[in-house]
Amino acid sequence: MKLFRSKKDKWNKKVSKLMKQSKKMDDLQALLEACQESNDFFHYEHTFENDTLWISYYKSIVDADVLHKAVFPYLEKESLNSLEKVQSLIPVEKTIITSNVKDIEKNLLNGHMIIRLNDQEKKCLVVNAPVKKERSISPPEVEFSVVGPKEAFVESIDTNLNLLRVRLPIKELKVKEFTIGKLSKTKVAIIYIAGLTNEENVNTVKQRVKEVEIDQVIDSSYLTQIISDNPKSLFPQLLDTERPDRAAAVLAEGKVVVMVNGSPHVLIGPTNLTEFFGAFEDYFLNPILASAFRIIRFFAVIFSILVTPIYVAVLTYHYELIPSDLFGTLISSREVVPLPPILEAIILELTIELLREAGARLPTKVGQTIGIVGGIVIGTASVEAGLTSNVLLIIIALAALASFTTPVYQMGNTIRLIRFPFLILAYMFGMVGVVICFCFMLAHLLRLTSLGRPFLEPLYPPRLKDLKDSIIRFPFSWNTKRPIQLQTQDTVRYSKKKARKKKDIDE
Amino acid sequence: MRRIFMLLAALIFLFGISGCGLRKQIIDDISLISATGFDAGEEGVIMGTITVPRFTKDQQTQTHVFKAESHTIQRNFVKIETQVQRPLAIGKIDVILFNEELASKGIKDIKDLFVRDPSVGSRVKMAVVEGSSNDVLTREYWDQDAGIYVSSMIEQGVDRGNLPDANIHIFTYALYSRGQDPYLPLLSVGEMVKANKVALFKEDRYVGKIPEHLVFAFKLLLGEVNGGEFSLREEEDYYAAIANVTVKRKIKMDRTQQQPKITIELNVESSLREFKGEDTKPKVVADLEKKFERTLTKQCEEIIKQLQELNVDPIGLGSFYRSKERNFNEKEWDAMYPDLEIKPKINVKIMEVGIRK
Repeated sequence: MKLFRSKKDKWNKKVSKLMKQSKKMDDLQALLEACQESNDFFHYEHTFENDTLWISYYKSIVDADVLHKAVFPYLEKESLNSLEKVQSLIPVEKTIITSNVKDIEKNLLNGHMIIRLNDQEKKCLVVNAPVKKERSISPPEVEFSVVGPKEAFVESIDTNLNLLRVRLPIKELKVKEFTIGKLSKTKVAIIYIAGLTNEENVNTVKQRVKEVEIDQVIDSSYLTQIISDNPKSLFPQLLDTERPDRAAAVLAEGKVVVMVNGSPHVLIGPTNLTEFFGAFEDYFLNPILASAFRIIRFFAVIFSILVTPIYVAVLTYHYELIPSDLFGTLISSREVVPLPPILEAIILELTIELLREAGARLPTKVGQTIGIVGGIVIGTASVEAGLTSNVLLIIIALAALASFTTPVYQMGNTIRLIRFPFLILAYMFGMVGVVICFCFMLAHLLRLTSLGRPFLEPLYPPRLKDLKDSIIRFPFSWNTKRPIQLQTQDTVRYSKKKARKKKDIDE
Repeated sequence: MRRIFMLLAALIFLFGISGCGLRKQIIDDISLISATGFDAGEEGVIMGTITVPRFTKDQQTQTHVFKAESHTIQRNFVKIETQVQRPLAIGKIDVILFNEELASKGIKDIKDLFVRDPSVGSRVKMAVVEGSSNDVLTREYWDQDAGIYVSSMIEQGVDRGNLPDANIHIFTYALYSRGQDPYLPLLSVGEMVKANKVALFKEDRYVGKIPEHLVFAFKLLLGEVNGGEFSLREEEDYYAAIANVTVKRKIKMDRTQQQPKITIELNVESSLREFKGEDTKPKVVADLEKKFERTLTKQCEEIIKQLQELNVDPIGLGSFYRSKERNFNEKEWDAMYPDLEIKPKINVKIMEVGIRK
């Protein structure tokens, strides 16, 4: 009992201390004092011809130009007896007069300055003058495309919103902003088209974003890991893109976009597996070409995951499966290799992973050299030294190449890693092991959801209509309905009849 | 997640600790048998020969041949296993050979050994050898492995030449279907090994052979010619050859009498390849067609006569009869078969003569 009481006492003490602190913070003087402990906080009395004003702001986030060009010149020769007068004199929009300390604190930290008549005054005029230091819009680098728009999102959420709204100039495009992160106070915007997107999806995202409990959100990928349906899964359940055109396109499909300030990537949900294998460039190409490339990409992924495990399984257990004509090549290439197929495969896979990591961490120019050194020198040397067979070298290089064909980087990483369990089970149980592993993967994919919608959607549950824009892409005139997966409020994109109508040359 | 982990752990323990993992057969650590041959020895002893190709680093192939004698085949394998560098693996075997003497004693038991083994494919070729199969497998075939060489020789003979298709599956099918007897290619051994004859079987016993000049007609009767070649020579200075032969077979059975009368209709289509004679006017071509028909009919009749004398039925006429007759009795059919009236009716059509001018 005593023990409990002592704990309770401690708790009470803590609470009262906190209360005191907050009371203290209510006081404007205390706030300013606290701010002044930072050297980049300016707090001084500015003297005009007739009067003086107290001005305070963080110089690191406030644009001093505003102060010099839009505030001081207008106040020079006036008699400044009230804040209302000051407010009416300066030509800056959205200035407010308040004595609420919490508001003042928030604004001070968000690029506002405060103006007061004297140092003891509790009423403040809050003037918005944020400094704008942001990267200019550059071409997309991760999701590069040869044809099509060459704009990519940047770190500033305002610029990003601009990029999006320019593409969807409708009042139905709604932006809901939230602030998350105890320390970072990151602005997060949830964007959707009202009257079209399923409210349930929007509410799911809103709820999850609101409930995020974290101190810092540096990038949208933080949010992916927190608000995904199954954060432990290797598979990304929210699509991230740096292309504003892609974001605008999926908004029109009825998806929800989440934008995080400070991140050039936005999140898209609900999504499904096939979407990760479609590049946005597919929509810029003829549907037949696009479908062919998508199929190639899909096979590349399957090839990339399965080819090394199958090589290991067949060479270790199922020699019957090898065509007679291939025997000479396979055996003579493995003749001098002292290692069993599994070790040979793991060594080469790890080499490729090393090259990839080294290439990714180094500056571009050095990275290229590493690629060449690794690919050519290590590859040929290891074959000549008899550590690996040249057949496997070809297979692994092809598998690595194939894994790069996924247009979404996050998915590429998943594919990179997922072949290792396959490899180990292939070594342990041969083809049966590959099948077992594939079953596990399939069961996992079946159970995955993206914002509560099935992740494997057009495939399972089978939705034939959604297959029209998944592994293959039908012409625009065929995709007149929004995906069933999204359960949109307005299912029709445009009139099928009018879209299919062949226009005469005279019309 | 936890369940998956538990399951994986269970699997690993189950296989790992009990030690009953799969036996690894890494391809460069096994002796792959490419061909095996069986010869009859004295007092029921079976002489077994196997060839093991050895692939060297410079893509050359050497053949290692091993030989053993015993009463059972398994014992032969055990004996050979004591001589080889790496464990034997039978899964990639391509061809199984029997010599005439052994084949005439019946090859069912030997064949069953390969059918039982699931790692042996069902398209493994079988062939009978005139003489000794050991001889065939110990010969040098340039830089090729003997087993692979013999196997591809038979394969191309079936694909492009006049050899009828036969493998362990077709053999077993014919062996067990009622009213049908199996056949196999017959290799003749001289200066060269040639796949040019057909061995006829009664049940699983080798009873007779089709000579080289009749093999094409035999394949016609089986109805499976697809791209074969046939030449004809009637007088000293008159010969012709047709190629790209395709055949459509139709068996007709007249069952109005006590004994059925069978007509085998063969519609042969081909193109003229070689011709020594007059200009190829339509009339000449029509005449040529008649000549081919006459020769082929004669050959077919000869074959049918031989089959009836041996009382073997590789064409599967009994099987065809069974499909028409509700109360089929194999013994009755066997008794009836030698005296049946079986007529080939051949219709040769030369589709093109080619452009020469």
